[in-house]
Amino acid sequence: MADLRRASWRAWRRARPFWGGLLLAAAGLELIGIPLSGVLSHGAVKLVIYIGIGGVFGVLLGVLLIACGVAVWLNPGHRVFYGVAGVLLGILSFPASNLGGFFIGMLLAIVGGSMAFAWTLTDEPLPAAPGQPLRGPQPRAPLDGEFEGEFDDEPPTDEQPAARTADEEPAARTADEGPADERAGGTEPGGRHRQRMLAIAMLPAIVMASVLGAPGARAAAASARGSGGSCILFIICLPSPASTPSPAPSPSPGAPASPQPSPGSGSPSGSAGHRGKRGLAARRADAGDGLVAATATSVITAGSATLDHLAYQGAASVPVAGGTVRMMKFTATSITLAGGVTATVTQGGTGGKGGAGGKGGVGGKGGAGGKGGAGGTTSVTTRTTSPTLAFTGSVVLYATRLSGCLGALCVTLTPDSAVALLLRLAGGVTGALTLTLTKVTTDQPLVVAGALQAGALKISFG
Amino acid sequence: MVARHRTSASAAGRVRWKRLAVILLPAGVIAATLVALTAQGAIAANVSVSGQQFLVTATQLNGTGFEQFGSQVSAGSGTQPVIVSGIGSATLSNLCQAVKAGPLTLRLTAGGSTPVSATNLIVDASSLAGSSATFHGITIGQDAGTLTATPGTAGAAGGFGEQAESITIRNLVQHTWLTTAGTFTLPGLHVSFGGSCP
Repeated sequence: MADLRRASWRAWRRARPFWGGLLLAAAGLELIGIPLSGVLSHGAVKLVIYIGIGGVFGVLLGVLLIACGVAVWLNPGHRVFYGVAGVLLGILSFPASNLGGFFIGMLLAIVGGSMAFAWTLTDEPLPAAPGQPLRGPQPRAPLDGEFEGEFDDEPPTDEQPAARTADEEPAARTADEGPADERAGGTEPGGRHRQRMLAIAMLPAIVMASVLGAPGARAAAASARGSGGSCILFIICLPSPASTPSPAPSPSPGAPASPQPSPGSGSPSGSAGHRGKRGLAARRADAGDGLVAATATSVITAGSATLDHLAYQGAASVPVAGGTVRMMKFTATSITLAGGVTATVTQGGTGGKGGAGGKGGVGGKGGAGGKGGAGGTTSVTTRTTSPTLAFTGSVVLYATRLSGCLGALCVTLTPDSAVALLLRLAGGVTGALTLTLTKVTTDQPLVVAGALQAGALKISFG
Repeated sequence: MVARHRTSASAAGRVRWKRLAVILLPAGVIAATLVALTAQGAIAANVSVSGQQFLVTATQLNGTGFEQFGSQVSAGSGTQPVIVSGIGSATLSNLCQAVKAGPLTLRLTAGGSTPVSATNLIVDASSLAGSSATFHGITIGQDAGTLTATPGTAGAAGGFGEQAESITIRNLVQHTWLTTAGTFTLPGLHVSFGGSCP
């Protein structure tokens, strides 16, 4: 019984290009695995959004390769087509997907596709009647699943050139060359010669296909990126594009399609839009137009702060997710923080202060991770440290609380404190001075500056 | 495994070596050409890796359209906090990337003489460090949900985010969970096994 099963399994394997198909499918799995391994192994489908367009081709090519491998098994009659397709997909995977799955997937696909292509039946039937049309012009439907067509298809040893003229697919033709050549013991010079010619003829076809294929894929990537935002093939669209306040300006489609995108050409519209927005924010900061402050708990501490031409502009209502917050607004020509500057941000998934729940949903990636993961109840603290942070170029600082010491005098300012009011009245005096505060702590800072020069920067968790 | 086909006389079919060569040789030539062109930076590559941490270093990163916010990814055991950095257009000098692929460590280096360039680069890092950093047109403390510097990428509403028109980081060292880019041009690409990044 077991023998019988084994025998039938063996027969099944031998009746089709089993190993070629297996290698093709393995190549597809490998190409899918690299961009999606995090998703597959952890079941976090929402992580897909991180992968964006870069992973699409890995997945798409991988799926196609698996399909080729399975199709070669189920439909060996079309193995030439699937084999060539597998080889081309493998070649295409190099520019399109993680350097062909770090070479492994590409090599598997090329070898597997070639093996499927090169597979032929051993049991040669009687040669078909001379003059019978060859495989190329023949409709392929009769070959499906069954091999009778294949037997009939074997070219006669004495082939007639006229029968081959209608053959438009070199691959199909070469498929018929091998057996003829081998049957002739490889001694027939004409057959050899023809085979070599065919190999040469096939080369430009493949080159054309791959050269045409790669830029096409990249153009498709560009267009998908432009319209889809963080959608994958317009299927896996997580809420982020919808809840992202500004619709993603599409990057110029031409830039990614060019072989070597020059720096800056990638997102001209993106940076332009951003610049415009920032300019607005700087000019009309009182109203907070275009500027929404974070609600996650954030504190900046520094040993000292040097403030040039500091002016207190009074309390401002700054929009936050789901409302506004009263904050003090300061302007200065430059602010230099020194002495172990530490910015601590605490935000906890959905349970954090303000958190992702603020806008009634997933705000994008963060929310996706938080919601998909362990409920997001644990808060996460990000710590950014640097010896110095130098803000220059019309600095605007908002904060809910600012404390520091001027010499021996330590003060804490809040939007409603009397000291802040005094400072407002004394604005003309402080505006001309360079103040140096020590032991500075700023709560909920929101800083807009022309430039920031940071020393050795380190961002980590915990 | 192919040999099995050959040796069994009763096989229903087998791989013909000459036919294999007919397609394998040109395919190999084209693949080698593509590899060579990519290594010269003539062809851009798409890179997207996830599932394990890997090390990325570069002596200098220049970018336009920068944004950064905190987030979490599901990776390994439970969720991991990450710093998400999005850069619309970036160039990296002396890029080195060490990926653990099973028992092997794959080391990719590129951008020695001509820097690596990437568009829509998004990196989820567990830590990030640089010997110095310069930002232009920066906003710190902005709601991560309202970030616009890198189109299509934003954090959770209410989260702490920052963005800048341009950024320069020297001696970048990142431990990342996930890197994705629209296109990656990798001049001077070199792939080797073993070793790590400086």
